[in-house]
Amino acid sequence: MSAHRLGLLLLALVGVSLIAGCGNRREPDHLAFNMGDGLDMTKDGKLEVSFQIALPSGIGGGDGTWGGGGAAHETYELTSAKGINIYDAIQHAQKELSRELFPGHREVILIGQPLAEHGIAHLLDEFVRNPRSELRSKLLVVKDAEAKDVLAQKAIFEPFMSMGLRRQQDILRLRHVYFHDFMSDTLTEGLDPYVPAIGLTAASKPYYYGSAVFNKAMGLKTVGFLDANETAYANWITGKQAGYECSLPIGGGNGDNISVTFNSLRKSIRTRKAQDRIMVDLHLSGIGAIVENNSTLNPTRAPDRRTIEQAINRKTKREIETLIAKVQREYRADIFGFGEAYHRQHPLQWKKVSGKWNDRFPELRVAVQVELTCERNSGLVTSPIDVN
Amino acid sequence: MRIKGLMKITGSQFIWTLLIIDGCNFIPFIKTAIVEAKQDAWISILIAGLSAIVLTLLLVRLSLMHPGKTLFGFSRAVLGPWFGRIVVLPYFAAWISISVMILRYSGDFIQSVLLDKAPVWVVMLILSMLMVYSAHGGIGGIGRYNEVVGPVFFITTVVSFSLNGRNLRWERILPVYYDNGWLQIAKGAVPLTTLLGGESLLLLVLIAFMANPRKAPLLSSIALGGTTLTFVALTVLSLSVFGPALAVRLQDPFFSFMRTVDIMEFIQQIDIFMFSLWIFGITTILSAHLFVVSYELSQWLKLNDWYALIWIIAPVIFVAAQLSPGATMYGPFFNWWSYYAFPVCGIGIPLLLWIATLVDGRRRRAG
Repeated sequence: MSAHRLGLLLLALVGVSLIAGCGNRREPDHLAFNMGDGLDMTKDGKLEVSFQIALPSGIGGGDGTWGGGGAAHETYELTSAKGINIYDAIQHAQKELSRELFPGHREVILIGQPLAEHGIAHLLDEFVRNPRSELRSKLLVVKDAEAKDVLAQKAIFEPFMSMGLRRQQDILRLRHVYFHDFMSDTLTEGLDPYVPAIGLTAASKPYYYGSAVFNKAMGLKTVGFLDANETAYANWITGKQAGYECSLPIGGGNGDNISVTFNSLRKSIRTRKAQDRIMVDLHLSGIGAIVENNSTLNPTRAPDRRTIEQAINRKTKREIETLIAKVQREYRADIFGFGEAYHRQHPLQWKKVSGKWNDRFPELRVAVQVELTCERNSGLVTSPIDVN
Repeated sequence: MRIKGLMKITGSQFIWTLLIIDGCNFIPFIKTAIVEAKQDAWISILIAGLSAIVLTLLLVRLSLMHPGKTLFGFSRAVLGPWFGRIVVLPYFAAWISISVMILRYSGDFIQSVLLDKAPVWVVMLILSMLMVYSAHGGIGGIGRYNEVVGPVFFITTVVSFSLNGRNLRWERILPVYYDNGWLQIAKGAVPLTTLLGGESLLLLVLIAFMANPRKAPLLSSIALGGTTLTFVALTVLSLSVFGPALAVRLQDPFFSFMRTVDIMEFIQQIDIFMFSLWIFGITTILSAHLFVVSYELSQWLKLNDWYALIWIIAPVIFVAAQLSPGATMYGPFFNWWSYYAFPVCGIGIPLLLWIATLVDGRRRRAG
């Protein structure tokens, strides 16, 4: 081939690729960046999707809300649209927007309680099928309110509530429940998903409530909530939380109390079959630091520290047993993954219960063992302040 | 024959070319293995890789019995001009059909992920042009290209492994073996074996162009072993991010794995790097096939100019890809490939050629 013909070919190639690029123009200033989705069910049973869209004029520049000072621009726009499914709602919302909705940076997907209780099994396909969809979104349920109520609130620090919700999870030392984790849990038999739940205070401020429990056998619907403390225990068992805080009354004196922050949480789930029942040995351990001590117990003395640890272990064990019994009896959803533990540890026996795990889970006998110590950060281990 | 392009390939170019061809061809098939063998897909891949190495070594051995000759050259030498001419026909069918499949699949995939407003034919046309451009540099040109792209590709892949640490849940690949059993694991391994082994059919032609053909067994084992290990690692990682149940529902577990990387809120969406490198790789695969088919066909037709055939075969591949029904065809095609095309081209005919070579050698020594 002569150099001339080669040049012609290259030119044609460049030309064609340019045409393709134009036909597919998706410049940032032609996109509406969708930072968070809210999924709700209206009173007449229709699906309503709310999109929190970033407004670049409100965020950009040094004098915007990122910097703190300057003029107060709007940083987001909330658009809601109804539809028979997610894609349909997106198309309806698009009619109000001069830029294309782009889900590639979606931080959160919020689900309002009415919809969550109705069941979301039939809403998951689009999130997985759409190649531009974001499997890194975090899923949350809004308790006692609609998802758009939360997205409509101004975040205190962040330009959008969706970003605020995400950062709050970091502060709480939660391991993010990404959408792909939720899907994976949903599709795995011996496991039911549970996701963080947001509540609204009386002043309509969103706060971290705990979590919402989904039951797959009942059509992937929310069957109940766990408060923050219960969620911390559940997260400990499933390895989704790095640490938690514990405050309790202690010692003989009236009003004596102590606060401990726990880290290095560990768990071990051993399953076995005894006669006809499946037994679970749950062993939980962690190391804590005493961060407030309003009692006469002196953690620098070994016997006193043992007293503190015993009190904490007793309380924690009791509360975890109550939690497991509640989830078994009321929610009948294996959020702890005991079924998966049995599946992995006894793959042959699992085949006998596979397909019926939902019925077996409430019958499980779980033996809880808690082993918390307060030996971390010995620099903080000092005698109590004695004002007398 | 007029010498055109670069018709020699060095050892490292040979390794990188094979690595890229096998690697990029393999990416869409991680899912195939997961569909059959679930969390044991990595065992399927390991078995497939090892079997492909054995099959490849046999093909290389056959080629080395006839130094300096390509497939048609030695089949004519041992089977005679007529029969030798007939037995290479299935290879043309196999190479052209797999090029059509790869072009169509890549076109569909690039269109769905990156260019959803461009028609598929535009995407495929661009790929075809790249294929022609790259092939007409000769096998040496393709080799040089891969020497550059290959290291970038594999370094990026290996770096991306380390970025997804927080999403890994190792328990998702348990329990090993018991859920699926050998039958499912084998079912996962068969298509991958024939896929990797199928790419090795190119070696029947390519070895003749090697600067040092005696190293071919070692180099091709390194390339296939490297591909296998990389994909065993990738499959384990993507299974422990998604779990087998979700992985089979994703369009592509490999690119989705890259997409889940999320470090400090700004290292995200690194799949786009892999994607562009993958397109580089697709170019290599297509151009290597085009080169091999054009070269062999020019010998077959007794033409002096294999260049001219590029301009005939490339449009044929493009038009066939455009006319093919797309997604609904992949399943039947790979069944055909695994259970008919590969057994014929990768086992049956090479065996025949092998026996004929031995008989021929004995006759020659006797006479």
